[in-house]
Amino acid sequence: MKVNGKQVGGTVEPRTLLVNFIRDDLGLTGTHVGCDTGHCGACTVMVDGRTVKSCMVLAVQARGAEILTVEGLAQGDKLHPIQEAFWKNHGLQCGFCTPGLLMSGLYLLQRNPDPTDEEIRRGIEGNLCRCTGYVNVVKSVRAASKSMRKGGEGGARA
Amino acid sequence: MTMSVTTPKQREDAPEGRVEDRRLLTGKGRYVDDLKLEGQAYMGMVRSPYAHAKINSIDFSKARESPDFIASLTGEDLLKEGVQPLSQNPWPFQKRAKRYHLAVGKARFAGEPVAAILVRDKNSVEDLIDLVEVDYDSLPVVTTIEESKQNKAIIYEDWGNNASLTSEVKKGDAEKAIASAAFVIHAREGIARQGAAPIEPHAVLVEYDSKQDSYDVWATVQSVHGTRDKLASELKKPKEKFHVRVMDMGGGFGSKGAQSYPEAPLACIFARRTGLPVKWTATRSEEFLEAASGRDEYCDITLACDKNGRIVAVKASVECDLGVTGSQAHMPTMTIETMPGPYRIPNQDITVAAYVTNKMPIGPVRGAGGPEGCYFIERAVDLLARRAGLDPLEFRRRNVSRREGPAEGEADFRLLLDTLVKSSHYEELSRWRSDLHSKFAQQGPSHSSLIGGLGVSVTGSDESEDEEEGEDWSGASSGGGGADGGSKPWQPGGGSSGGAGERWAGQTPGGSGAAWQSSGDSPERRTWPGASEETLGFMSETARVTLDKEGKVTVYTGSSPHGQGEETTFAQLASEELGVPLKDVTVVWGDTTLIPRGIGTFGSRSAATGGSAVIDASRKLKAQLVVRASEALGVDAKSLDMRGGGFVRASQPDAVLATLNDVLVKQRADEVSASSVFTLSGLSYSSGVHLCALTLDVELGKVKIVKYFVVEDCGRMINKAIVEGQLHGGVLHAVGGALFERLAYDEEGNLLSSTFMDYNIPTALDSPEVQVFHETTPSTVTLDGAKGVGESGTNGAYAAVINALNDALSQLGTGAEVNMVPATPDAVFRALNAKRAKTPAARDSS
Repeated sequence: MKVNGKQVGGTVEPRTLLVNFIRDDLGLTGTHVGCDTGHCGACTVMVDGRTVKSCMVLAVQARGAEILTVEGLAQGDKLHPIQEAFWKNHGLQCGFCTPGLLMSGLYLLQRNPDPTDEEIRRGIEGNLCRCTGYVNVVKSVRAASKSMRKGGEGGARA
Repeated sequence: MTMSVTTPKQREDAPEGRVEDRRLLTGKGRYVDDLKLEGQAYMGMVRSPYAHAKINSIDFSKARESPDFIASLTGEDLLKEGVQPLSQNPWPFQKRAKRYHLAVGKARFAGEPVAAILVRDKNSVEDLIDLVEVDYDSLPVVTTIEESKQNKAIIYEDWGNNASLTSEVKKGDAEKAIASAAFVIHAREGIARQGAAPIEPHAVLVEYDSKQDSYDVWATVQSVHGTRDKLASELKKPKEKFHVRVMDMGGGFGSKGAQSYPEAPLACIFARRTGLPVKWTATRSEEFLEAASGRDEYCDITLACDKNGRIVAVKASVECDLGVTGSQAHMPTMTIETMPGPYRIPNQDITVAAYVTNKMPIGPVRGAGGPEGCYFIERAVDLLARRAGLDPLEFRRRNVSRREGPAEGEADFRLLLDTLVKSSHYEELSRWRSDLHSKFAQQGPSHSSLIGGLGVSVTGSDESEDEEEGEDWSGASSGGGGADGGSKPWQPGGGSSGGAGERWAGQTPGGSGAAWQSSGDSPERRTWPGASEETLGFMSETARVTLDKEGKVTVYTGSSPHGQGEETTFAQLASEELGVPLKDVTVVWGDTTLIPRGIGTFGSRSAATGGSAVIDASRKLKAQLVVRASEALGVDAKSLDMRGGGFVRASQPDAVLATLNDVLVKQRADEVSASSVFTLSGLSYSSGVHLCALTLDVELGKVKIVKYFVVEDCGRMINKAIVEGQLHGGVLHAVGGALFERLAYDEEGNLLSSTFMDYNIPTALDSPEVQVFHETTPSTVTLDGAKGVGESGTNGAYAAVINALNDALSQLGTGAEVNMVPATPDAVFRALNAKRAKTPAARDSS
């Protein structure tokens, strides 16, 4: 499979979850496990351009897929506009759910570049956050929507 | 005395984004489960499926056959090792409950660990747990306070009963005042058991060094020092043998605080026995089964006022279900201490009794008894306002006001309420509510099933007492925050029945012996139990600030941020004191070797206490540096100041005479540093007023919060975005608590809500757009002027939401009321229908 643009591979037990392959085998620990039942969304990654809760998928199911994790968002030192927006708008506190929220926010903006607040809330409904009350998360996605439309960058990536 | 209330401006150097965010946004944060050591093995916990059961035997033979099996431990093994029971804070009001890291003899709650195994392959942990065969005889189970009182089963045999603690707050003659009051209400209120539910589950990683006989421990904890001291005391080793660290942490909300958990000590034992690094990460179900939960408090309250709407008396009886009781049981006492809130009620008779049951232990969860206290009084205040025929806002205005105005540094509650009315556009909201009601009344529920409700609450306390009232314990009700330090008259555990339970030596964190300050002490002498020269009190925090010859400043703090942004706020404080750019300041925390003493982050204490220590150390460092600069530059020290990354004459602040590193180089100093152990002279917490506007669908019982406002006084705002973020999250924690969250048990003591599917924390769709406004009064007891804000939002929001819901219900005229929390759609629906069936269209007499 391709992860963050790099060809990777490995031999795993059939029951290995995609999230464990990403974290343990590839050492990409930015993707987190919060609940192991598919509810919290901390493990959300993009698989072939669609958000997937990677604790709900076996690693072997992602064979040949293109995967984007939080580590693949920034380009060198330059943050992705959605990361920048979360940073500027205090869209994170403990940061544990953030990688998943970035993925869900980005996926939403790729399909709907100018969402209403209600649509943003719907778009991140599958990601639980206990710190922010979502107030600044919504604000961050709204700000990212603006900057991505303005800059024309980021939206098409991934 | 009057004092003008000022709203300080946002600090000019407050950064646009937090310092810590870059690594967290790019996946480079380091949470405990992200760490991986060569050859690490995985620990698995075998947990009791019974809430109360005798353990006959534990058989590992099948598990041992697996090539992945490495080692096992049972409670009996721990006794052979001489491991001490799980630590408990030596509060005199709390009965000692003797439990070990692995159950010895019997299991006392479903989920209690009875054995631990060490496994080679992470994927095999759960397989091998299933292969461990434990033979149990189930025992009668106690799951409610009623069953506990009846001693249906005795949970700790040495107690003789299940009563854990009683306490009271008394003042004047409540009984008499109620008898002659103009208006009186009674209510039965309660908040169910609820979870802290941080998104990151607990985790620990231990590496043992056999040459040094020492342990490297990485753990998800809000206090590395407390964890180190507990490990030392439970494993009976000097605390220098434990190097405890935490880096990034995915939330705590109290559950990763001072509660004693079995896993870190067990991982240490496995690591020493096998020489392998040992990792344990909780599954979400384990998190729900074992991580300290909170609330589970119920209150019968009577509140009375005179004909002018002045509250004259409160009489309340609180009961708390402690589960098997953990290391801390001060939450119910916090509830009764904070219950009077900002109201100066002349006659108070408030009691609390707490009981043990066969459930996981409760511990401090965001607010730690404060949300319960606030909810109980604020719900009653609403009922009394209605009874007296007064608007709830006006009723509160009458009761928070003081002849002489607020004391210095204290919130002006009238101003907060006035600002709430303005900033929420209260009149418009009232019109919105009336419009919805007209539509509902005219068109009928089949066309419009929505009604609107408005609810307010006040959180905070009136710290200054009237002298003539002659209170015998001043300021212990610290209202706004989940103080863990309230001291007050107590009665030894168990009330009149039964002994106080066994107290054993050496259980004080750090083994230094209890130094509990007795009830007559002034607030500044109130200390964390176990406080001594070595182990600091709740009112203290440490900091060390260093300047190196590159001109870089490092702040070492005993606080332990996990979302609160102290890496940013503490850098701001040092930067301001030392006149260095923010980018040249680094904040270090969570390491018992780099920072030998400290307390941690919980109880809304870090900005106030930790921040003060940072300022104190920075000022001490500055004094040293100015002397050095004076020597190096030949300028009178008194005329020197620090600014722009260097030294300036105070009279010419823009002309840098020498940079910081110039002076250090001239003096041939590699590093200059100063330390502080700062102790606050009093508690300092935020106050606030809340307003919730919601709609209730009377057909479905469904509630939707449409607007939410907070006006708060958090003292000086070091960083506005962070303050508001704390309030947003704090409010939502309580919105979840008020409307959805419940750790439900069946009659056998099985936890029914052990995943995020059954235990609903709010999603983005359930959450209001919380708007925060500020009316700040700098604290006079903290050096940075800050007041603790982490729990303030949670304390106030239960009451605002439930008052709003009841405001909506009241418009139906059926007398339907919901005072038990959470007010799930089901509970609201049942309340609506019960009243419909029983008393159609009749107003309830209450």
